Amino acid sequence: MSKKELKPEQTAAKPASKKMRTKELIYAGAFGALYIVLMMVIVMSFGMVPILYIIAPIAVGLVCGTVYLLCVLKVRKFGAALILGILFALMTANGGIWSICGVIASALIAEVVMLLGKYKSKFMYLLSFVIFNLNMACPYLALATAKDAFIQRSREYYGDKYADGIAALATDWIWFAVLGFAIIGGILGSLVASRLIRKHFEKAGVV
Amino acid sequence: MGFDVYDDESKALLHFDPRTKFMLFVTSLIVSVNCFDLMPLLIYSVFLCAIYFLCGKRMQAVKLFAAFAFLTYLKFAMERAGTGAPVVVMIFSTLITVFLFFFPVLISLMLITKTTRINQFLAAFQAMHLPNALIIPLAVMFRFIPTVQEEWQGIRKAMAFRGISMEPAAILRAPMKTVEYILIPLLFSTISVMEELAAAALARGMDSEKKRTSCETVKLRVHDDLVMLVFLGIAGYFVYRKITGGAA
Amino acid sequence: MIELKNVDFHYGGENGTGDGVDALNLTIHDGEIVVLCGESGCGKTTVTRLINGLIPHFYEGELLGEVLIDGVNVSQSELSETAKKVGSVFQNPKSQFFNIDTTGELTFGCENLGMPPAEIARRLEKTKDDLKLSALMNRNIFELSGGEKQQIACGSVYATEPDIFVMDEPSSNLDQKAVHRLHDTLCKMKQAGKTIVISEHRLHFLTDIADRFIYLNDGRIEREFTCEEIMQLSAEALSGLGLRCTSISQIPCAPQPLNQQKKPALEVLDLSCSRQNARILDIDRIRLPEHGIIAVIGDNGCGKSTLAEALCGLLPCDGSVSFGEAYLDAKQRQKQSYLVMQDVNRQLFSDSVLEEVMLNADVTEHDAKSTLSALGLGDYTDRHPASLSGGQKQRTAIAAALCAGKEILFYDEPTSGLDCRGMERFAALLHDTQQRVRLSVIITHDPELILRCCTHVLHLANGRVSAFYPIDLAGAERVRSYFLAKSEDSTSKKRDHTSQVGKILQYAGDHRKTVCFAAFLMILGAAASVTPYGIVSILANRLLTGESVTLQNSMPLIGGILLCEILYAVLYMQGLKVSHHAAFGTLENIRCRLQEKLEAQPLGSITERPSGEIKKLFTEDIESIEMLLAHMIPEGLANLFVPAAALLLLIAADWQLAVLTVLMVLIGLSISKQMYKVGMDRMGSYFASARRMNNEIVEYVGGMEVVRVFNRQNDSDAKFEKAVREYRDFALDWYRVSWPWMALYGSVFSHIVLYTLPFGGLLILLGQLDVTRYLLALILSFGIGPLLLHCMSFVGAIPQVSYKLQSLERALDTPPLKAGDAAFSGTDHSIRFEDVHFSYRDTEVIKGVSFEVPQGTTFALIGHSGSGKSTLAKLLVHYYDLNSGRISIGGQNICDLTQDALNAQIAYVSQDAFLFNKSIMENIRIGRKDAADEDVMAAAKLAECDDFIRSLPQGYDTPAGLAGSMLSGGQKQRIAFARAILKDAPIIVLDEATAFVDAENEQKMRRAISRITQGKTVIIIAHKLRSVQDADRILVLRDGQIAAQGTHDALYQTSEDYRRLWDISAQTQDWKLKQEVTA
Repeated sequence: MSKKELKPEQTAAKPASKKMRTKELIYAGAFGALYIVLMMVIVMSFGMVPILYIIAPIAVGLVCGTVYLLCVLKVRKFGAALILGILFALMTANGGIWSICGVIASALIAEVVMLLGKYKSKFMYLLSFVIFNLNMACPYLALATAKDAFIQRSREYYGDKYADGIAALATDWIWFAVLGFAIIGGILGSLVASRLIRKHFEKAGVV
Repeated sequence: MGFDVYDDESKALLHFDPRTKFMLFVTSLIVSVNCFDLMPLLIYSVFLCAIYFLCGKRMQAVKLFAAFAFLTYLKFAMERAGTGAPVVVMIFSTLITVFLFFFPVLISLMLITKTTRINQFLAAFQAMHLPNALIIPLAVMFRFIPTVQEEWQGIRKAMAFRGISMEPAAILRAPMKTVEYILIPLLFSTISVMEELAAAALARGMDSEKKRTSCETVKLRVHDDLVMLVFLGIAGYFVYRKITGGAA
Repeated sequence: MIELKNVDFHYGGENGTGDGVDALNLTIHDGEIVVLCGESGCGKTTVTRLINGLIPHFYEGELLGEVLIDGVNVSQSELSETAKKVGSVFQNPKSQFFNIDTTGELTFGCENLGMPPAEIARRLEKTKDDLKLSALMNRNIFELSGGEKQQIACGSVYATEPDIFVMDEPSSNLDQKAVHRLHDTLCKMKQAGKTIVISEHRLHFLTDIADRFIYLNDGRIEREFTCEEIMQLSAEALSGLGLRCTSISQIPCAPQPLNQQKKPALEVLDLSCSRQNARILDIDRIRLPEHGIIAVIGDNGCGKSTLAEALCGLLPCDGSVSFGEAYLDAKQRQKQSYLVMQDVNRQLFSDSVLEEVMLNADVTEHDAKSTLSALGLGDYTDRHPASLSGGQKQRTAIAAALCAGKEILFYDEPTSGLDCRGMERFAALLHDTQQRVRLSVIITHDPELILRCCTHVLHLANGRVSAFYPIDLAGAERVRSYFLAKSEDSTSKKRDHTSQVGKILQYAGDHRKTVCFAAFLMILGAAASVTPYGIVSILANRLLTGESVTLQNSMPLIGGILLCEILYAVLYMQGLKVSHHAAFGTLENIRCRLQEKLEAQPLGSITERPSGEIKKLFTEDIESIEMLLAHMIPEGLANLFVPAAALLLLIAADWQLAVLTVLMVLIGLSISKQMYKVGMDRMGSYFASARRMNNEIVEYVGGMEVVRVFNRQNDSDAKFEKAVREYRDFALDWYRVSWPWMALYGSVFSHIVLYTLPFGGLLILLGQLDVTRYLLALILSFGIGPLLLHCMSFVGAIPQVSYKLQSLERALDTPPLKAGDAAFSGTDHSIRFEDVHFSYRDTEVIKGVSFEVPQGTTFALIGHSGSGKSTLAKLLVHYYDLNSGRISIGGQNICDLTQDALNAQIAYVSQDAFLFNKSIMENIRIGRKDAADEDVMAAAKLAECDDFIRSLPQGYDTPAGLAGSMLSGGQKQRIAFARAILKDAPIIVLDEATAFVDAENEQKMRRAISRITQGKTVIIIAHKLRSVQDADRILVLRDGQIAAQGTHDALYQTSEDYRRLWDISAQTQDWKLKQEVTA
C-alpha cells in the first residue's frame, strides 16, 4: 500500500452520491456506539484515581483513534465525523452547554480537514483525528469558564483565604495541560491507528 | 447507561413527554451554571425530585433526595461549626458544593434515561422534526451498545484461554499489544454485525430519505405544557439575570 | 411472479471475491415454495440477494441480465419499493434486528413503509395471533433465545404483508424445537398463498412443504428435484451432491468403539451456577470418559453454554470440577481447556494465521506449521484470519488450541451453517484429534454430526442432567427420537429480577403490613434506647460547665431516662411479638406454596427421593428461616434508622468526628462484604455436603437391621464416616476462608471508640473542639455501637435466607406432571399403549411398546426382572411423564385427564401395602371416602380378610400401627385388596400382588382376585406364571420391548422366551429343600 494515497473506490453500478446514505448512517451509528462504550470504560476506570483523570484524554485517543479512522474510511463522505461528534456530545451533555458546543466545533473542523484532503490523503485523515480528539478536553472547558465566577462567589462566602486556596489549586495551566494531553492522545492514537489499519484491516480487505 | 427497555410503568402517576424532559434537562444545565445561592437550588432540586417521584421511580427519588438533604445538612453543619483544618474543610466543601450544583443535572438526566423508553425517545425526536440523518445513527447507537458489551464479554473469555491477561500490571507492561488485542477482535466482530444489520435494515425498506412513522405516540398533554412553562420561566429568569449581570 | 433472465453477477467493490452466478434462468410462480440447495459458495445466497434487491444496491459488483418481480426490474428500483413486495429473513438472528424491544421490532418494517399508527397496530395484532407470538411481546430482544429471535424476525417481515418471502438459511442457528416452530410458520405462510424462496442446508424440515428443490453448483443451476425425487436419493447420493440428509430417521450411524477407561477425563460434583439471583445450573454428578467425544444436547436456555463455560473455568460456580484425578479451580481449568465459540471472530487476534497459532503458545514454528497443514490450512499461513471463510477460521482457532497444548476442547455449535462437506470435514477433524486431546465436548443441534462421530450424549434439561448415554445402536435411536419429537413449546421466561428482599416480601403476602408495623414499633423502641445517652450527656455537660448538679434538679432527667428505658422495653417486646406473628404467617405461605408444588410433581420423582430429604425440607429448612425472618427485617430497619439519626446529631456536634466515624463504619462494612463474597463460593458446597450427610445418616439408621444381618457393618460405617468427614472438610474450608476477615473485623472495626477517642483528644488539644461536644459525641457512639453491630449481623442474614428460599424452590422444581383438566370422557375402559418410550435416568427402560387391552379382559405382563413390567404399570397411572408415545383409556389420552379423574378410573394394588396410622376400618375406607361401615365390611369379606380382622383386639377399630405389627405380609395385602374392592374402579392393576404370600393364603388370595376382576379390565404383573395361566392374553416383555403375546397355549407353542420362563417357574414351584428319594 502506498504511503500517501489510499485505495480509490471501485466503480459501482451507480455513481456514488456525495450524501450519506442509509447504509452509511447505520455504520456511523454503530461505530459511534463502539467509540462511546470504549470511551466510557476508559474514563470510568481512570476516574477512580483523581490524578489519572487528567490523563484520560491520552488513553481515549490511543484506543479510540482506530475506531474513528475505520469509521471515516468506511464511509468516506461528509458527515461521518460530525455524527460521531454529535453522539459524543449527547453522551457527555452533562458537561454543560459549552462542552456540547466545543465537541461539535471540533467535529466540524475535523470534517473540513478531511474534505480538504478530498478523502484521499492519508495525512489529512490523521490530522482530522488529532482535531477530533480535542473533544475530550471540552468537558473541562465548562470548568474553565465557570471557574472565575465560582472563585468570585467563594470569595464572598468563605473569605479571601479560602478563595485564594481554590485559585491556587485550580490554576489555568491545568486546562492547558488537558488540552495538551488531548493533542498528544490524538497524535498517538492516529499513529497507532494507521499502523493497525495497515497491518490488519487492509490486509483483510475490510477497508 | 442504564436505559430500561421496559420499565415498570405501573407505578408512574404521570407520564411526561420526552420533549418536556429535554426541556428540564436544558434548564437544569443553565441553572447549575448560573445559580450560586443555595436556597433557590434547593427549591429547584426538590421540584425535580418530586417530578421524578411522580414518574414512577419512588424509591430512587426518595434515596436521591435523602442524599441531597444529607449533604446540605453536612455543609450547613460545617459552616456553622467553623472548625477544622483549612485544607480538609476546603476539600470537603468543594466536593459537596460540586455535587450540590451538579445534582439538578443528575436528576434530570436520570429522569430522561430511566423513565423513558427508547422508542418514545426516537418518536419524540421525529416529532421535533430532527432530520433522519440524526435519528437513524442515534437509534443504531442505542441498539449497538448492548451488542458491543456482549462482544466484549465474549472477547474477554477468548482472551482468558489464550493467556492474554487484562490485569492492570499486564496492561502497563505492554500497552500497545494490549490495545491491539482488545481492538482487533472487537472491531472485526462489530464490523461483521454492522454489515449484516445494515443489509437487513435496507432489505426491510429503511430509507433515510423517506419519512418514517412510529407506533409509539408522543403527545404533549396538560401537565407537560404546565411544567414546560414553569421551567421555561425559570430558565428565562436565570438567563436574564446573567445578561443583565445582576448581583446575588 | 419472479423471473431471473440470463442473470450474471460477480461480486466486486471493496469486498470483491470475484465469485457469483452465471447464466441464471429461473422462474418462480406465485404461491410456490422453492428451496435452493447446494454446497457452500454455490450461489444460493446470491440468488436470494438478487431477488430482494440487495444486489446491486448493497453488494456491489457487475450485474448483467434482468431480475423481474411482477414485471418490475428490481435492480433498478429503490430498495424501499422492493421491500413492499419482498420480505427477507436472514441467517444470523442476533444481527438482523434493529430495535431493542420485540414490539418495536415487529412494527419496524411497517414503520419504514410509512403506514399510519392505527394500521400498524392492527397488523401487529394479526401477526401476534397468526404466529403465536403473545408470549414474546414486550420483551428485551437480548434476553431471547436464538429461536425466539428468529421468530420475531419472521414476525417482523410477516407484518409488512409482502407477497414474496425470501429466507437465507433461517434455520442454521436454531435448535430442534425452534426448527419445528419455523416449519409451522412456513406452513402458515404457505396457507396464506405467499411465495417463499428459501436457501438452506438443512433439508429435512422442508421436505413436506416445498414444491421444488433447485440444486446449484458453482454458480449455475444444475438440477431440479421434486419432493419425491429428493426423498428417494440415497445417503451416498446426497453426500455426493454435497447435500445434507433429507430425513432424520434415515441418518446413518457409525457407532464409535471406545475403550472403557476406568478413570474419567472430567468429573463434576455438585455444580451449581447462578446469575443475577437466578439459578441456572444444578448438577449432581457428571463423569465423562477419557478420549471421548461428548455431544451435549438440550433445548435452548437449558444451560448448555453455561455448563461449558463453567467447566472451562470462565464462569464462577459452586461445586468441584476435576480434570483427570485432580480437582482444579477456575484459573487452572482455564489454562487446560479451550472453548471454540460459535462466533469465531471473537477469537482471532493476529494478522496472520501462523502468528495466531503461535500466540502465547510454547510451540516452535515448525510444529505450528505441521499442525496447520494437518488441518488443511497449510497454504494459508500468511493470510489474515479475517479474510478466511467461516470454516477456515474455525480450524484456525482449533489449531491454536492444539498448539497451546490444551487438554480438553469445548465446541459451541461448530457446524451450524456448514454444508455437508463442511460437517464431514469437521467430523473427520474430531476423529483425528480424538487421541491427541483428553476430551472433546461439543454443544450441538446437529443430529448428523452426533451420529457420525460422537461417542456419548449428555442431555440437559432445565439446568439438570436428564440423561447420559453412549451412542450404540440403542443410543442412536434415542438421539433420533429426540430430534424427531414434536413436543410443546416452551418459551424462555422473563428474567426474574426481583431482589432478595423482594423475594422474601413476596412470600410474606398479606403479612406485609404486619411486617411494616413491627418495623415501626422497633424503630420507636430503638430511638427510645438511644435517647438516654443524650440525656446523660446533658447531665455531663452540666457538670463540665460547673453548674451544680443535685439530685433535685437532675430528677426530671433521671426520670426521663427511666421513662425511655421502659418505653424501649415495651416497644421492643411488642415489635418482636408482631414480627414473629408476621414471620410465622410467611412460613405458612411458604409451606403452602411448596406443598402445592409438591403435589404437582410426578409421583415417580417423589418416591425416588429419600423421605428424609423431603421431610427435612418441609420441617427443618423452613423452620430455620423463621428466626431470621422474624428478626431480620424489622430489627434490621430499626438498627439502620436510629444510627442514621444519631449520625445527624453527631454531625451537629462535631462534623469531623462524624466524618471519621462514617469512614470507619464504611471500611468495616466493606470488610464484612468482602468476607461474605469470599465465603459465598464455599457456601454452596457446604450446604450440598450437609444435605448429603443428612441423607447418609437417614440411610444408615434405616438400614441398620439389614446391615447387621448381613454383616456389612464395615462398609456402612465407612460410608457414614466419609460423608461426615467430607462435611467437616467443607465446613472448615468455608470458615477458614472467612476467619481472617472475621478476625479483622472483630478486632479493629467493631469498636469505633478506638478511633474517636484519640482523634477527639487531638482535636481538643488543637483547640478545634470543646469538651462538651466531645462528650456528646463519645456517648452517642456508645449508644450507636451495639445497634450497628446488630445491624451488621443481619445484613449477612438476607442472602442466606434468600439462598435457602431458592434451594427450597429449586428442590421442587422438576417439571410438573403434564396433567390436563378434562374429566373422563373415554368411550369405554380399554387401554392402549402406542409406541411408548420411557427412560429412567440414563437408561431407556421402555423402548417402543404398543399393545391394546380391550375392555373387560385380563392381561398379564411377565418377563425377567428389569424388563419393564412394573414400569409399564406405573406409566399407566401416570407416575411419570413419557418420553414419547401415548397411553390412552377408551381413546382419551391420560395426559388430558386431571389426576383425580385418572385415579378414579384405576385401582392400583402394589406389592407394598401402606397402612395409615388410623383404624383398620378407616384404612379400608380410603378406597371410597363415603362408604358406609357395612360396605367396608362387605368388601373385607370379599377380600377374605374379615375373619382375621375380627380376631384383632378391637376388631375393625384396631389402630393400624398396633395391628401392623401383628399382621403378616399376606394379611396386609388382603387389606389392600379390600381397598381396591371398595373402590370398585373399572380398571384394576395388580403389581406383583401375590409376592409376599405363603401357600395357604395364596388360595384365599386367588379367590379374592377372581372376585375383584369380574367384568373389569385387569392388568396383572406376576412372577408366578401359574397364577396368570388363565389370563385372556399374556405379554412377554424382554428388555423393554414386547417379545411375544398371546394366550398361554399359543405362547407355549410359539415363543421360546415364554417356554423358558414357564419351565423355570415350574421348577421353582416344585423346589424342595431336600430331594425326596422315591423308593
